[in-house]
Amino acid sequence: MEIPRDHLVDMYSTMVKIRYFEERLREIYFADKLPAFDIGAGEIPGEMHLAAGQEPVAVGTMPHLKPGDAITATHRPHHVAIAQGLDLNRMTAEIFGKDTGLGHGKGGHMHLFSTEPNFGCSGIIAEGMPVAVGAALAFKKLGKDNVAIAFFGEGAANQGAFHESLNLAALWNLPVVFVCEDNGYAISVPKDASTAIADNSDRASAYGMPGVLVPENDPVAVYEVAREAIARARAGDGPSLIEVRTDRLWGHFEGDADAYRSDEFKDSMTSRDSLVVYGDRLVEEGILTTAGREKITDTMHGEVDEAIDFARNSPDPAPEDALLHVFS
Amino acid sequence: MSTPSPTQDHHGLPIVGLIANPVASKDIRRLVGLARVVDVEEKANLIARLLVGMTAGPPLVVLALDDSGGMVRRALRLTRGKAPSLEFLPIEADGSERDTHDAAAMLRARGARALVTVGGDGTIRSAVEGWPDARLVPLAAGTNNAVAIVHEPTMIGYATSLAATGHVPGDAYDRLTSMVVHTDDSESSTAVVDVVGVRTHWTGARALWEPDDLVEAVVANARPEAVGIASIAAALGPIPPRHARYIRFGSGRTVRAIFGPGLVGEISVAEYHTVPEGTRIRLASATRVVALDGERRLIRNDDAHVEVTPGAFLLSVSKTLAARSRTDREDIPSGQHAGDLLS
Repeated sequence: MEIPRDHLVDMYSTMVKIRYFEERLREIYFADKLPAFDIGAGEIPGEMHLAAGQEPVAVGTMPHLKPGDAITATHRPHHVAIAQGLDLNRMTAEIFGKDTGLGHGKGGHMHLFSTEPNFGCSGIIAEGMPVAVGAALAFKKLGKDNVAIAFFGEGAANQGAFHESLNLAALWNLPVVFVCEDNGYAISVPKDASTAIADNSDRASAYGMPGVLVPENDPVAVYEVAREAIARARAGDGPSLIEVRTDRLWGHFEGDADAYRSDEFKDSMTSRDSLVVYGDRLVEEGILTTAGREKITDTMHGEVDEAIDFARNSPDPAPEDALLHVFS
Repeated sequence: MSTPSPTQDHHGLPIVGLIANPVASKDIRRLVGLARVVDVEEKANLIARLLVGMTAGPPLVVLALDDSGGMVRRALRLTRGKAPSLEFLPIEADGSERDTHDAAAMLRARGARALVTVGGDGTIRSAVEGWPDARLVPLAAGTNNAVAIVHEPTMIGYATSLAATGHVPGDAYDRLTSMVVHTDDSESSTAVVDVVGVRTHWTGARALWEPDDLVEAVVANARPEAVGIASIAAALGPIPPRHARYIRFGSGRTVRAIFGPGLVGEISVAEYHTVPEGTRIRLASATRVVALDGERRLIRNDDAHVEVTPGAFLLSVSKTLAARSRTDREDIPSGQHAGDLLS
């Protein structure tokens, strides 16, 4: 089945946007925190977990969504949020802790919430999976053909919530797709030091659902697998698990010395950077021209810069509003 | 049959190579069809049964890839000492197909007398690329398994030990036909079951499952019971040994095809003909991506062509074991050892 040209180009554009967003945030985040790393200082206070390199998992999944589908993500959420189409201005403002942010500046980068599109994320490992199962249960009860997608890391697959979520999703035949972003490291713990099996996709059959391994960090490979998994869920055929081997180009958090990964390993990731490989392929296939590729870069960079300006020019939340919006 | 690769013994014992692929049987066909997952535990169990079976025959040593899934190590634990001596190749496996290729090439250089693979048709393909005239014992742990041996692994292990140590009269191996794909002056790739031209532009999730995407195919070694593109070739009639079948898809004869586990359909064949080894086939301009043994792999260029050539050798378990029954069993020493790990 041929992939529509606009999907191919949109995936690339979104990857460019995500990468530039993460690069700009990284630069701004560090600007006022050195020389002695002060996590509370600067324009972006608090922790920061960036997803450079993991773009394919997000952009390959999103073309198959429809309005109302629910997405849950992790402490490393920006690529998923951008790919799903969250309001970039309000998302950026939230990260900067501004009142115009998605959570009025009180959630920060790990707690981005939106109703349209339907998106949530959390810093608690594996938290998004039961939430996605709940959303899928609601869709089924309400007779809607929406689906829920839960993104999580390979470390989260060892949490109880992973196993509970897969079991319940299969038991009740829910329209949910579990997407595991395997970047090989849970913070600094390599997968083979934490996980008894080589591939988390193997765990799917233990819970009565199909599991698929995507061994390459390729947006088209993710696109093809996600298309089938989401169509299957939407048709009422139940949940599935997709595991994608992806690359986390930078440390677990900004400020991480990342000394637990060798220079050789890091160089190998750079040499296969999906953003470069995919972009080159689009030009080789005649889907993009070099000029078109540059135009995409300019446009996406412009959108990100605009969102950052919006955030910087937004007001801080008022101290007297500290207790507003934080309780339900 | 051509002259086999030179053999060398290891610590005075014949060598059998072992390569297990942790990634086989996990692709998109689990979603689009009813393909099962053969997970790491199951593969380790298959390997353990294979190793135990080897001890029923004469002594030998196994040189194995220390796979990234830890399957061979798990298998050794499962055998509880009932395995041949086993040593690991000096390869740091990362789970890519390069592991299989490099291990096969190394085993060829070390003079292995047989090469056991555990995986699917793609695993066999990677092994043959590393060792083009290998004596193959491909244990089926893949999706289609068009060439791999689908028998109890304990028996496969026993047959391997007999064949590798020369304790059977006659030729225990059948010669396969290979298809070598050239996409530019310097690069070539080998297929063991089929070379398929696909009209889509992307390798994507690799597996082939959509008949509308197919342009043409060159198929060899197609058993009547084989699944996949091989089932289409076999439906058109037997393919003689040392030959391949070229198929162009399009309006014409409708053929029932079993595209994969749980994937039944029909496809139209516009033309087909049988070609002998030595034939060179230029790929059609409509082909954009070339799939090898069921996986989209290569981007076609203007000079892309397929060469049908003599290939590797495939162990016949039934011939080997039938010959055993005619041999005085007292002449064949048992190879049962403690499961020594030499390194």
